[in-house]
Amino acid sequence: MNKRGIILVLGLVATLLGSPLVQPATAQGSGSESDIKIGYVDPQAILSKMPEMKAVQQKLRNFAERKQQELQQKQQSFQQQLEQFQDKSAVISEQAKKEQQQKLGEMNSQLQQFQTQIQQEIQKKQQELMEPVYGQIEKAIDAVASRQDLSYVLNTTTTNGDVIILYASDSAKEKYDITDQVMRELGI
Amino acid sequence: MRSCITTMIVLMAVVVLPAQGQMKVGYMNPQTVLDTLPAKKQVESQLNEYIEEKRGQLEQQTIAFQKQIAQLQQQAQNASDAQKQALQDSANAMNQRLQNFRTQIQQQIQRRRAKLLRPIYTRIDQAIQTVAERNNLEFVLNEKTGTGQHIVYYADARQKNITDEVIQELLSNN
Repeated sequence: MNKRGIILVLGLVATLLGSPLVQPATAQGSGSESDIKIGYVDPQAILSKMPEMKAVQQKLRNFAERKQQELQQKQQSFQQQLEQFQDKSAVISEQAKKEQQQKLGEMNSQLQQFQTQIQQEIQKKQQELMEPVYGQIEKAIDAVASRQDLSYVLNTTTTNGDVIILYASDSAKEKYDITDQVMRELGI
Repeated sequence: MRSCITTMIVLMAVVVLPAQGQMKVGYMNPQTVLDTLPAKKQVESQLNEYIEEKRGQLEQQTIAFQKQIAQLQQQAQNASDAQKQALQDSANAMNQRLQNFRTQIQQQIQRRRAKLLRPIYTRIDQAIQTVAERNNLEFVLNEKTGTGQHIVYYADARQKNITDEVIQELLSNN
């Protein structure tokens, strides 16, 4: 290459470097471009296909039924006490009536507390049963993300149903929706 | 000159290639978009009318329930234990029916709300797609959940918030 050729090449390269075509995208001011690669996954779709979920749901149902029976026993006992009080309230002294009413009030608030406690216990049990299932999914996500060299993997929706990814282009869906790969990784 | 062009092509490839793996991500607040739309006010007004109608029905049912309970209490005064039990069962059943009606009304209101808002959400989704395509975005993230919790806590000034552009897109097609 002669001297004129070298100067021409350098000139063209300099022009090219200065053109918006090859400017770093972060300086373009229209959208964020960087080297990060973002993937996303729909864990609900995966969970619905996991065979382990049937056993989890059955165990949770059994647990909830046991707790419901405990609650019913307590409710029946309260109801009996209430009926006994109603039957004899006309013949007992004002003092005894007040004492009985106070006792029934306490029983009622204990019953409310027990109801709240049951709900918490069921939630806790659900978390406990789901933990190994989530663990498996997370492991599979890690494997797929690492293989595809992803920087982030996002969830598509929150547990309340709020959409996290409002839009993904067709090419992004094809390249970065790793839900199917995660299912394959899990063997489902 | 041929070697000069070859060198230039190689250099161009080196300079341009990294850009191909880069992603363009935007974000927006759909709640702000929804609140700005005049159609949302119309939906709210229609929904309020429906809620009032359902509230009226519930009130009537509650009054009827209270009357029936008062009658049962009167009957219970001179009743045997077995009759009292039967009256108590009737009262429990009536109470259950009222609770069911209340739950049913709440579900009906939720369904009506979702039905009224569905066409607006469809229009917002279409506008998001149009704006995203116009800006060559690969992803648009939701900034906040419906209850106001942050999904995107921070975005620097170079990141593309398309909320206003989506509003403009919707208003221009109104």
